Amino acid sequence: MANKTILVEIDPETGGATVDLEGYQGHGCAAVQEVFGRALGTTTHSTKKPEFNKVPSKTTCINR
Amino acid sequence: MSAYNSVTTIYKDQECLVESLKEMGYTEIEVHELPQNLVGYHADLRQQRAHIIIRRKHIGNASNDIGYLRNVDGTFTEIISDFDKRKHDSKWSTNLKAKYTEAVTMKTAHAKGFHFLSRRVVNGKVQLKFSDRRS
Repeated sequence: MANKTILVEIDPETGGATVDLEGYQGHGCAAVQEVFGRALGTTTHSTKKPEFNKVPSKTTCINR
Repeated sequence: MSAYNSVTTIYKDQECLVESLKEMGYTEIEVHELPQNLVGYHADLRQQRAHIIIRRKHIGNASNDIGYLRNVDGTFTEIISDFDKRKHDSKWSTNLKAKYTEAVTMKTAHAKGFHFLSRRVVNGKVQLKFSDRRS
């Protein structure tokens, strides 16, 4: 599984922030975006990257 | 990478707002369950009321109280007199907002179980990095 990282950059000119998600696939990142968007205030701009529409690979665990 | 969001900060976390005001140098801050009247520079009670108050004695001799009123929707409105906006201008407000944004980011990340990796300052911008190890 790819490393999933969250980078929050705070702009000293506005006091606002940009939230950059890395390693997420599919719509799983939307939940993380919403977490920070709700906590901080309002999302003013959102850009989906190409990976956004990928379906995450499924991992099956088998107990022996 | 999969998404990139720009967020405009709105004050709605009381604890983080108080913490940020302390970082701005105001260590004596009143927090009230019910809003209290602000006091003017003549020691007169003002019509404006607030839940979070920095009393004028901690600001300056000719100052008025500074307050933050919690609205019905949970957001806070800043109340600063025109006189005190000379010192607490837009730059001051932006600095406060940046500290608040950082405090809320850290609190939110911790609450959601994200692992804190680093805090860096790049070109004057604070960068907070977390890893998401949740399944």
